[in-house]
Amino acid sequence: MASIKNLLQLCKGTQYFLQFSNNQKCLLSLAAVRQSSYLSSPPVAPREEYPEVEIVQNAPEWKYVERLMPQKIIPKPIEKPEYPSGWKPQTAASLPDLKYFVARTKNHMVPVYLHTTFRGQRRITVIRRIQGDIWELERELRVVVEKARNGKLCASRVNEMSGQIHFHGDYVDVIREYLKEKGF
Amino acid sequence: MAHLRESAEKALKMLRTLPRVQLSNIRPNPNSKKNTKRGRAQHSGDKHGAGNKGSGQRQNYMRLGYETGNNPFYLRFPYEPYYKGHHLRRQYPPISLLQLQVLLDTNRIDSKQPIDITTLCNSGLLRLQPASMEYGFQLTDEGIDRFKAKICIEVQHAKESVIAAIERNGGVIRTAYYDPRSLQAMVNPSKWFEKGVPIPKRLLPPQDAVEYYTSAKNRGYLADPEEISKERLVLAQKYGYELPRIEDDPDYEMLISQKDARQIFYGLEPGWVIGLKDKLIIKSKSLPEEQANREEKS
Repeated sequence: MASIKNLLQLCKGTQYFLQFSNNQKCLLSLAAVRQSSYLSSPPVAPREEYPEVEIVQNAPEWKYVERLMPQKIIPKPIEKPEYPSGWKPQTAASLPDLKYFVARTKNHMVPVYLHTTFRGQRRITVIRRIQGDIWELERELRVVVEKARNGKLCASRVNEMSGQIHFHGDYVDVIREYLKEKGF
Repeated sequence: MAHLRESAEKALKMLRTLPRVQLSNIRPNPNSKKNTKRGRAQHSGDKHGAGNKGSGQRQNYMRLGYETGNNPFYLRFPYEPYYKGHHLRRQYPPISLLQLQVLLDTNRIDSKQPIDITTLCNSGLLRLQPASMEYGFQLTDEGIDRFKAKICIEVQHAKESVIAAIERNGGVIRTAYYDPRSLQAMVNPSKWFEKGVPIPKRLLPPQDAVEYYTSAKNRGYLADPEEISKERLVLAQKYGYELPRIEDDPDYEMLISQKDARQIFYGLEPGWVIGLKDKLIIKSKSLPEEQANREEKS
């Protein structure tokens, strides 16, 4: 129905279309109209042709609109007695005499990730955002990982420049839990 | 060794007199350039690697898999068309209860408000692409034992165990269908409002989804509310927990807030235009379709 209306509006605008017979008008209405183009969009009609509207300033429903707007910045987590998901806020920042520090991400998460390569054949645990004595942290984490490996040696790599430690194998959960325990 | 020293000195002497290496006097390594011309006849004209006779020489290769009249290998065996119509199937990207609990714990979602697709997408951590046949989220049961929040949530698909986990904590869950156009508005409402386009009217579910969304067991939005309250009790008995009375809850208003079957945003009706800059709402007194219907009748 709407497409026929638009076509008729187009016809009004041009003299050429007015000469069309009724038959041809029927044919025209079957033709596809590309609404996305500004050329085929209906021209602005007088105000009376549009449905009646009511313009409301300070509407009581505005609170529902505000609820739909996303937050501009990432909110800070609220302090709660317990966090059922296992997430913990960072507490180590206020501790004195820290040899090293692992910063949280912008989303307040512990920066431990799993990198998989060779179609999942090689799994590497990556710890990022390390500041301070990275070698000390590597020594401590090595003990944790080797315990998880039942005492077997583990391969690791330290990148002092970018503040990253890589461990061969998937030890994300073990390392994340350890860092959370330490307050990072 | 005297002659060696002499030749070295000679070379250094030559280097001193030679011009510097620059663009004007460098040339390619010897034998590094190939002649691009393909000679004909006596000018090295032979087969040029194309071989003698057949499709190799004429470069009219058979189509892939064609075995010159044999029953081709790729058609020889029957198969199950598992992926038939995959491009038409509705996709529901998963979110787990654990993910939801993390979002609530880290203050990315407010549990004091009803949660729907807009809330989840506005957290900035979840994405939905309605153009890629994604019709909303399904709530999965990962981390079901750790889930402790009391929420009012609306998803597009949820298992029975997930429904039980939410209702056990005194929450409310509904499954609802949204058509892709409505989803596009819900995924990024501010962008939709900036376009100056009216809020779309939610379409009814397609035929194959009607059964799911009218069933009280799935907490469908088209189900009878009385049936749903009965099913809540049945599920509580099945999973062996005491159903908290939401009527006595301080957040009762929030828990029972629900959208109309044609509504996509809480509190806002389809057909309204939202002016974000001037903070005004343009409400239609009657929808254009309704008016068209009236005209047709008269």
